[in-house]
Amino acid sequence: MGNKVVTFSEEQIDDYQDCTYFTRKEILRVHKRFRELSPSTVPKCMTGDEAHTIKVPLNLMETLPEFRENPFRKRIFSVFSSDGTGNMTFEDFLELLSVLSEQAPRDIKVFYAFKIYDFDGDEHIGPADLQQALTLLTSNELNAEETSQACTKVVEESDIDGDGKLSFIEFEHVILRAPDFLTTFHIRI
Amino acid sequence: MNEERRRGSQDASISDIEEENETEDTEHIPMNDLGLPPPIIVTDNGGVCSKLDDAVPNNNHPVARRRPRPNHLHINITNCTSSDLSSHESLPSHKVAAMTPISLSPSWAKPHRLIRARKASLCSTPGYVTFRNPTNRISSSTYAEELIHAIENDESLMADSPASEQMRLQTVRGMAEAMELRRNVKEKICYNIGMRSQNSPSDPTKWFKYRLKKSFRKVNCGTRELLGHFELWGSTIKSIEGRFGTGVATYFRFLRSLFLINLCVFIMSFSFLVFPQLLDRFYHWNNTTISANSSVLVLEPKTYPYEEINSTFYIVDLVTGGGWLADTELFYGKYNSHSVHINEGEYYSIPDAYFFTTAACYLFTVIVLSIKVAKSYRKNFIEMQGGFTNVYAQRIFCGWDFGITNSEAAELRKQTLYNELRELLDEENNAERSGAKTLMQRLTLMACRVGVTILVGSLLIGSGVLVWFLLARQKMLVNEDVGTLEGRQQASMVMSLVVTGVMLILPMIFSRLCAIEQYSNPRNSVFITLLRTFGLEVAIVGVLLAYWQKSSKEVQCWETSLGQETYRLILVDFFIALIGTSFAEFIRSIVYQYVWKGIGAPEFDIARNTLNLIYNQTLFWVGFYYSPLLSAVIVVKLFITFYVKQACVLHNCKPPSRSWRAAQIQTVFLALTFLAIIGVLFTLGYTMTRVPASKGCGPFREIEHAYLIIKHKLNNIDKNSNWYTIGEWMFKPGVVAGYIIALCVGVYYMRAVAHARGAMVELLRNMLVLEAEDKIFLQKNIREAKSGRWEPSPLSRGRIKPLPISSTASKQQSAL
Repeated sequence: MGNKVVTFSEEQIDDYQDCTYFTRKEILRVHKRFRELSPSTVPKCMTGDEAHTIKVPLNLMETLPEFRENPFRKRIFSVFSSDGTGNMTFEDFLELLSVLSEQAPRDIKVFYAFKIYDFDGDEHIGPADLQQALTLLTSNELNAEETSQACTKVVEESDIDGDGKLSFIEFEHVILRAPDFLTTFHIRI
Repeated sequence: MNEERRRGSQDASISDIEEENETEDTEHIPMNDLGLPPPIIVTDNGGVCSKLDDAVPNNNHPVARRRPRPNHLHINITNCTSSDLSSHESLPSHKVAAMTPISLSPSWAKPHRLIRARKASLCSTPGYVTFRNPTNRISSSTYAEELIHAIENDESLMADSPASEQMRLQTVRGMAEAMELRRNVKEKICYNIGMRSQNSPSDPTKWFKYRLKKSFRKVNCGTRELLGHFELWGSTIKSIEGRFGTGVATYFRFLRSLFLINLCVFIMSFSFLVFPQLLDRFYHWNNTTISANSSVLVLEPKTYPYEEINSTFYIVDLVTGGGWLADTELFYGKYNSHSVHINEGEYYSIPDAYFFTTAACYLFTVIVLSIKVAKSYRKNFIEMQGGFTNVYAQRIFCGWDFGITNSEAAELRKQTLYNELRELLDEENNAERSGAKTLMQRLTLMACRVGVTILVGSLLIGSGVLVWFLLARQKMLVNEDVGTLEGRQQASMVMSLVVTGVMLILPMIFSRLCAIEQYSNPRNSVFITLLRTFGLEVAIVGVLLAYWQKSSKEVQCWETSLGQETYRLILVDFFIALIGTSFAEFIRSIVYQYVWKGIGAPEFDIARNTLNLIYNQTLFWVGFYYSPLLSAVIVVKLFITFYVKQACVLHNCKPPSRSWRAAQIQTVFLALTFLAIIGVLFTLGYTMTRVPASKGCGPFREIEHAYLIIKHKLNNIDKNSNWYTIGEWMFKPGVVAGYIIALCVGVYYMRAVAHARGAMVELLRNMLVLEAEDKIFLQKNIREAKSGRWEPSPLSRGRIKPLPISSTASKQQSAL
């Protein structure tokens, strides 16, 4: 029969199944994709510590086809990476895909979406964050005046407590009323 | 003043802490031994505990101790987010981050607790831990300790039962923490639970049930994984979604679900209805003598199975459905009205089988479709509250489709978003400048719309009349004594060709007309065109049915004729609408690429294609009763349609330029399909009860009306059996009235509950606005007080006192 290389120990697979929204087959598929990014550094057998120590750098992560065209890819990777730089370990990557998968409930997706759009990390989406998001989304096509007008409009529409920026509660209010959030905030691997 | 207002309504315990924190200095928040403020942990029953040993009632918490609190007011810490704390500039952000509260029970368990802890759970979101320590002030093991203690303090999470295991799983999954941390937490909790269950003897039956449920869940998981393996066309749809967005992908998903429903119908009808009939055609029982005085019935194949059909077979018959094909199992006419001999002494009654199998197939389709419609409606309309108020925010936050993998599609998406935002901003600016339309403009617009509606109505009526006229002409021409064979064949095709042509051209005219009407919202115009096209379909199919019901006495076997009509329509639609339009798009894309750019690349029109699918499906449902093998035809047709459309989209079309609100339009499509089948069922019910079945052909030739089969079956039931008395009692008029009244009461109750909840949401929203105003007022006062400019207003003089501080809290303060 030959040597079959065991990628993960049974205990690891059980843990991953319990901690994420993936099944065993999907976890192995994620590992395969992760390994394809950098076959020299990511080993086939990850039964030891490799799952949370070996990191794939940000520029290689950005070459994934699902993320190549995403304007928020840098921010997504830095949010999910454990050190905040965007270099992802396997467990970070698994968690990213688990949150963005179909089975993840709306609450956790909204939570992470908030973190992604909060570029400066102050737990509020302020006008600066909105401007940055708009610039990324439209690739600099809107001029400065239009951008600021749009940002003002967003704050006007969604800010309830009048502090000029969006807290998590207000963001959630907005997202709850958007019918397309679950279908757009979704990556299939 | 604000305080009195708040005291008056005891339910409104939103953040008493919020106000409190505004009026205190931040330095009085006690720090733990690591130099950070303790995480404030809210457990699910609304209690507040700080870390570790203080896992006890509110009163021990230093912050809570400062104000005497009546029992019924719970502290809703989750609303006191770090937003309030971060407004104080002295606190660095990582400290703020670590102070953010944790609530650990999973969100789906909330509804059960809501009744118990109503006041505490005004904020329904469990606040997840917001930041993993970016600065690593707390080591992850200590952090894990805190989380574990928080989980252990919640009894419901630690109980040794399958329900709480499920909840634990949800909690672990829902914690927004590093995977390593979660694994640690999970391991330790499992270990602790294992220890606990060793110490306290647990109920063996409960343990057994628990094990059973766990293995059952594993099996469930495994089958789901296996089924996911078999998902039909899954990867293809994913690649289409990547290039063209979710709107086009919903068309293909709709196609796939219709295909699967029709496949099930085909399997059911073939195995129960067509197969026995075919058996009767190909085999017959023969009495063979084995020995001198015994004979045995043996099944032997017939030598000339098709000998009873009079006409010869022409290839054209495959298209017209007439001639040779008319006498096969394809159509109603051939089915026996007697029973078929299956085995020694066992008979299989074909008329019963026909009636009950078709009824079961329709019922199955209705049930599946109604479940789909209800789920889609609930997901897309009710939970979303259908509001349009946050257009800008939704464009920015939900505008990007994360599934896009193609650079061309990404460019287009960015362009689309840019266009939409520009449109919105321009509309904003123009509205400010030009103001409302004048009376004259409004009147002309109204007149224009009325005129277009009348025009469309007359077009619909006109097409209905045309179909009627063509049917009458065809009936006259197809009569066997008149004209040649070729003439008859041609005549029968004319109607189908004309109808298909009408179905292709009129929708395009409708969409052009809609552009004249100048609807302000482009989605409204799509919606109106959709409705008009659906009306056209209804008109044509309705006229078809009505004509044949009316002329049921004039033709020898009207059911077969109706079956043939639908068969022809489906086939012609396949050739013209599917192959023809794909070919046209192919030509257009070649012209665009190589010859002339001005023609514009072909675009995949989602609405038109989906309506075509609905039209086909309606035709199938109309014709299925008259032609059971039509299910095979439509299954093959849908299969080919998928591949043709997929090739067409991938090679010819460019991604749609307008962002398509997939979720809500999909509900509309499903609802239209559902409406179609309900309409068909009503018509079928009328047919079965009022229109006499043909005497010369078909399984019901000996019965006057088809529904009498049920009556005969009921007459044959033993009147004395228990089932009969129960059944009789269940269908008494009084009891049926009781069912209907109970249903009405149920619906009224649900509506009242929904209404009340809506009113509560409104009330809370208003309260939120008031709170915001209070906060601004108080912040202003703080600033003024700090700079010495604050003057108490005459109303509040004498009522605002410094809050009583208990001795232990003051000791802690002095220790800092």
